[in-house]
This record gives sequence, structure tokens and C-alpha cells, in this order.
Amino acid sequence: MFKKILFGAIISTSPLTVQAIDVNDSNAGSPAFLFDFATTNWDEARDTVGNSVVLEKVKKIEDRGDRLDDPDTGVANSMLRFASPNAFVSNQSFGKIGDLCSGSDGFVLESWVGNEQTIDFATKNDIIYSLGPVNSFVTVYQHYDNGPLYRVTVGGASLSTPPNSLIARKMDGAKELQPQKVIVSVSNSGEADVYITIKEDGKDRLIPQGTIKFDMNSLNNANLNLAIGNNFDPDFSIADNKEESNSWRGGLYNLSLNCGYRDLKAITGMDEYRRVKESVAVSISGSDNPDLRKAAFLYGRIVGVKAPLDHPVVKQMAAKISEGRDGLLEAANIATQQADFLNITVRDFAAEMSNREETINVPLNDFIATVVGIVKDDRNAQLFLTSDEIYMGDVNKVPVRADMLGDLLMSNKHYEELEKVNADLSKVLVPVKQKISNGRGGVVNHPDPAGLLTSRAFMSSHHIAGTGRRPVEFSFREFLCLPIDQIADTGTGDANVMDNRIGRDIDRSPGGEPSKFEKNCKSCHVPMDGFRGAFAHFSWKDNFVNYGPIVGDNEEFDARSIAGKFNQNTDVYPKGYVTVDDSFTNYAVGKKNMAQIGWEDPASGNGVGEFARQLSRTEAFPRCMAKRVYKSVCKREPVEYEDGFIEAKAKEFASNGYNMRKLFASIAVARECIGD
Amino acid sequence: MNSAKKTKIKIGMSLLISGALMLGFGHACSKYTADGSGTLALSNEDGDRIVLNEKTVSTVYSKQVLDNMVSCLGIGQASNSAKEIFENMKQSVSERGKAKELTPPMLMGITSLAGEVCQQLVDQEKALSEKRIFSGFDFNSGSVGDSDVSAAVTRLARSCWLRNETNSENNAILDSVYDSFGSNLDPEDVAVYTCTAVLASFDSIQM
Repeated sequence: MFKKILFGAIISTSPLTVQAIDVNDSNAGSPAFLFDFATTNWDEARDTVGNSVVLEKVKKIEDRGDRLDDPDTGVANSMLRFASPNAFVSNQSFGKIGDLCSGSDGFVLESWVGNEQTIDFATKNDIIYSLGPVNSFVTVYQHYDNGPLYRVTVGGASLSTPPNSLIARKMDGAKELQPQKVIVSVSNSGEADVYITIKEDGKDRLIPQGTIKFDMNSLNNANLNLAIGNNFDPDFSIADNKEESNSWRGGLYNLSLNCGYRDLKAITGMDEYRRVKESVAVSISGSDNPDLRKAAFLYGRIVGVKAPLDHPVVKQMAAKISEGRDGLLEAANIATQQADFLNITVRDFAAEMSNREETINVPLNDFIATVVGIVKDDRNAQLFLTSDEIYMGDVNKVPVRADMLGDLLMSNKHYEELEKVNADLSKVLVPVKQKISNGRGGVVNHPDPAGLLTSRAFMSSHHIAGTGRRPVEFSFREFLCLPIDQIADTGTGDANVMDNRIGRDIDRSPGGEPSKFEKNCKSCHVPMDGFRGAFAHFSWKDNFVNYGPIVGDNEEFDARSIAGKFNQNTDVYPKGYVTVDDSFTNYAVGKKNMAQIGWEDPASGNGVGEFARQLSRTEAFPRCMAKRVYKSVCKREPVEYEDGFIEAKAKEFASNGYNMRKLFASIAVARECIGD
Repeated sequence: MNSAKKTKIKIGMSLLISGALMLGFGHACSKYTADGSGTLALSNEDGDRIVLNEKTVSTVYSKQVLDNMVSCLGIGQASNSAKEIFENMKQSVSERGKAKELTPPMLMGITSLAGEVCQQLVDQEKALSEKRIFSGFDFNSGSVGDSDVSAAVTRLARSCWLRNETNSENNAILDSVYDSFGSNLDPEDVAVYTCTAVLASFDSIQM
């Protein structure tokens, strides 16, 4: 079989993206039939493998630039471009589904399709190709509701019947032909997996879209036909009454069918990224001595799930425990090396800190992934607040969409897909520099990174609407374990604690009572408003983190790139502080706060990066991490009697280079956590 | 698993779970500690009774419920059916794993989920020449012996209870099998039932 490279070319009205496509580069092996359309003459299209399948024209073509030649090789008809209504249907039946690939467990349909149109039509569904009887079995079609989307239907009674429909990837570019490979891998067990390529960094990456469940019985009694085109109905009748302008427009580069179902690993070549719990042989006469039981219990507390007494890791831990107290810590260290320590325990530890409701029931996001990544790589936990990186899935290891702008900065799709494909976070996470959208479709390095404080998850939780105070409040709450009422300080009698940074939107005489402000409001606003300027260039708008100096002309910011929320309601108290830059003043330096926060270098500064750096160097930060770890593995909050224990663990944590893995192990084995 | 089989398993499981709860539950800590025993007891802000230097009783929580079943049985990954059942029950699942958050709806949900996960285990075991859990079961025959069921209970206990079962526990499960199926012991039904009995019990969900 000759190998033909096809190129998108020039169409009559606008230039197209030139894209090399190898029509014989199958993800599923040797095909039973393949149409590469090299000899298609608009009267018929022939299978180039066995010449056994012929698609016959059933719709008159109009000569409007439907022949496309390869601009480099000059090969004619290198793609079948549908610019006017056309359709082909096979001149013969493939027989029943069982006959098509006799003795096989399914089949794979592959094609390269390029969409040419992004017009929204109200309820337009145009089939591109179809394999099936009346009420098609497999259809791939363009769906123009809310922009052009590929939709794949398998075994549905009708095209629009959920749940058998699966919306796939939205095309980018209004006038460009951007070919995408569409693969439907159908299993005789009644499941079909759909894959579509997306282009990232100039490369086509094959991304699983999901699985369609269907009733295999609905197929067994009907003969199959194949159809391609842009103007036919599921029963292969030609819809002459269709509006031409509504017909799908685009190119079909090839279409092939391979016998045999192919799973994700066979299609993508990737499989090692998945979380899989191993099977172990279980003894019927094994011991359940106290060391073994303790090891299994400790494993569960640290890893987050149980492993059988006969699990080799549990046995290894038991052997260490039998050696005494030091061995117990070694056993815990072994548990922290297990993948699910990261996938479950650390993930949930981080999830709770990542959102306003402090619930662990949130999708994976950049905040959680970054915590897991830093723990995974045994890096200093102060990076939670100081890192200029976030963690994401390695695109060379896991087949998920990973466009920095669309899938990480403008949405959470990358992380949600990591979860959807059951990715093992211990294997796939890699650090990348923090980026930010420039608001004009571009991505730039983050100018003021502050670890998790500048993550999309944290900003979307705390910098949406409001007055710019919540990011400060939750920074103290999540990373120093100090709710705002605990750092409240009126500053009375302390020259270092002043109220001169409190904004104009705060009433100094609520209800006509100045004393109410002095006694109630002021104490929280003194430290909070002192710090909030650090976030002044940030806002959350249009589903992404806006940074004033970069997004520029935006109604969210004033001429100084200060988010409007920082200077709103100016007439409440006109003499209040006006935010003019991202400076902040640390007023949490009163006697109480100096003692409970333990600043290393309390100072004024500029920007969230500097604010976060100061938080990371407090005594409260390691203390807070110790408290959170205690709650995670000891299954309750520490009580006041245990303050000394927490303090000791915090100091140990700091002296261990802020290593979270060691902190988990150290606390999990403590008498205060699991008893004697 | 068909609905009749699920119903049968649920009824049997409810009896077992009730017994397990009465024996091993009803307080927040792992030991009853009488005042004046020398052990310091106090309450936290949530009203939990805390015994210092004793491990706190907790249960699986949130998605950990399914993860834990998959892990202790060693079945690789949860099936799509199991994931669907979990999605439908997750509203009733404790988020924090506090013992006092263990509710009847959560237990019923866990039982349904355990049934599905156990069916997945049994399906895997049927395909193995060297079975890990149900080693004495001949799934092509029409019956299964007591000793094979007892051995399966032991393996399941070592997997998910993290201890060997007691004689009375083994006998209780065997009696329950006979109560549910009579003398017509279809190996697959018995395997799913036995597994569910162990997997939906308190010792399995305790962490």
C-alpha cells in the first residue's frame, strides 16, 4: 500500500491551515477497508485495501471547489471536501455486524475530518459518515448547536437520543480547516470508546472523550451499510429539502475500519498512568499478630485505603514495627511511599484547603495537584506559598487535554480529565511555570506568583466579587490555621498597629454608633485591610485570573491597574484609605499576633508574592501544617492538651526542611494519634 | 447482579450490620473509658468525646468508600457500574469519616456498593485458574461446601477486616448463607453474598 501524505490546501474562499496527515497511520492496525479518496471522482469512492467496497454517489455534486489537490505533491482529490450537498452510500451491504468482523470482539472506525465552518445553526445535525442500518449504528456528525462540535452516536434509536450521544471537541478557528482524527472503538460487549485529536503546541494529541454504552442486540438483526457525505439522513435517504447553507462543510481525509476492539492502551499507547490496585494472594492460615495488625492499621491511616494482611508492603511494615519505636516510624515512612498516600490522603488534605466551603468533595484542580506534586517530589512545603510553579499532568504520560490557556487558565478541564481517566498522581504530575492569561488569547509568565495563593482554584474561590479581603482572610485561615477573628486587633495602645489602611467602603459609624466600629469592625479590618493591597492587581473575571497590568484595557481595573473592588463605595467613608498600588502594611504585629503568628521578618511590601513569602516564614505555618496533618491521619482535630505535641511536630517539620511526607509519618505513629 | 439477588443480599446484610454495630459501635473512641480510670477524657468543639492517647474511631469517607473496597479486595479498578452506584449514593456518605456520621442511608448505600464490587471480584475470580479468595469454589458446579465458604470468609476478613475472623463470626456468616439460600447453594450467589457480608460490615469501613 502506498503511503500518501495529504495536505490541507487552498479552497475557493479562504486559505486553509496546511497540515500533514498520514492517512495510513492507523492507531488500530491493519484495516479491513480504507478509503483514502485518492481516486474518488465524485461518482464513486473505492476502498483502497481490497477494492471490495464501493461508495456510489447518490447526490448530484455541484462544481464548487470540491476537488482538493495536495499543494506539494499535486495528487488530486487528496481529500474529499464537501462544500455543496453530496452523499455516497455503499453499493453493497456489509452483512450483519457479526459478519463484518467475523469472530472478532468488535471493530474500530478511524477517520481524519476537517471542519470548515463555525456558524451556529439552531438545530442542525449533519452526518459526515455512518455505518449501520436504518437508525444508524455508528455515526459521526457535526453538531452546530452552540458552535460546531463533533458528535458520535452509537446504537441510538435516533441521533439526538441521549445518553448514546457524546459531544466531543469544539473546533478552534472560524475559517480554518483543522483536521482532527476521530476514532470510535466499538466492543461487542456494548461499549464504544471515542477519541479525538486536539492540537497543542503544534502537535496532534489523541484524547479519549469517553465511553458510550449501547445495546448490542439492537444491531444483530440488521444489515450494515456505509455512507459518507453532508446531506443525508440516518436511513440513507437524501434530504433534498435541506437547506444547502445548513449542510456540513469540511473535508474527509480518510475513513477506515479495523476488526477487533482496541482499548485505551492499544489506541493511545499510554496506560501506565492509571491507578490500579494490585491483587495479592491471601493466606487462609496466616498470622494476624499484633505487629501485622498494627502495620495494616497504620497503612490504612496513612495511605487512605486498606491493604490485606498478606500484602507485601504490610508485611514489610510489620517487620519494621517488630524492631521497636524507630521501626514504627520506618514503617510509616514505607506507607508514605505508596501511590495512594498521594492520590487519596494528600489529595484530600489539599482539597479541603482549596475552596471556600472547605469541602474535600471538589474536582481535582491546580491547587490540589500542586500540593500533591510538592509532597510527591519531597520539596519544601514553604513552596505552597512561594513557588512560581504549579503541577499538571505530563502530556507525554497521560492522554488528557492540556492546552495551557483553554484547559488550565480558562477552565479546570485538564485536572478534571486527569481525574476522569483515573490518573495516578504519583506518576503523572510535573511542575511547570505559573502562567497567566493576557486577556487577548495569549499566555505569559506569571508576574507575581505566590504558590497556591495565585492558583486558579484559590483565586476563583476567594477573589471572585467581594472587596479583595477574602484572599487575605483565607490565606491566614488555610495556611496559618488562624481565622480572621483570631488575628483581630484594634491596635489600641500599640503604635505599630494602625487603622490607616482601612478602606473607604467601611462605615466608621455603623448605625450611627462609632463605638461599634471601634469595638467590633476595626479589629478585623486593621490587619485584613493592611494586607489586602497585596491582591490589588488581581481579580477573577470571565472565568480566569485577571492581572491588571497585563490584561490592560479592562473594565475590571482602573487606570492604575487596581481592581475596582478595592476602591468601591467610596462615599461610605471618603477619608478612608485609597488603594493606588499593590503595597501592603503588616499590622498583624501586635503582642498577641507576634506570639501566635511568629513572624520571621514582619514588614511592609508589595504584591502577593511578598505577602505569601512572609506567611511561609512564620512559626504558625509549620504549626498549621502539623494540625492539618494530625486531623488527616489521626481523624480528629488536636485539642488544647495536645498543643505541646503539635508545637514539637511543627519544629521537627521545619528542621526536616518542611518535608510533608516526613510530617505525615511522624504524626501518624505518635502515641497521641494511635495510642500505645 | 439481578434485583432479586440484590434484595436478598441487602436483607441478610442488614441483620449482620445491625449486629456489628451493636457490638462495636456507639461511641467516638476505640475504648470505653470509665471516669477515674486514670485516662484523661474530654470533648472537642464538635462534642466528640476524646480519650487522649487512644486512637480515634473513624470510618471511610467520601470517595474513599469505593477506593477502600477496591484496595482491600485487590480488584484493580472499580467497574463503571460500581462508579455509578457510588455516584448515586455519595450524598449519603460521610465527608469526614466521623463515627457519628455513620447513618442508615450510608450503610444501605455501602451494602449496594459492596454487592456490585463483590460481583466484580467474583467475575474476576471465575476467570482465574488459581483463585485468590474463592479458591475452593467451582463456579461451574451447582454447589459449594461449608469449608470452602469458611475459607473464603477467612481470606476476606484478612483482606478487609485486617484480622482473622472469630469462629462465631464465621459461623454467623455461614448461618446467614443458609438462611438466605437454603440448601441450594449456587457458588456464585454464595460468593457474592459472603463477600458482601464482609465488605459491608463495620470492620471493613472502619479506618
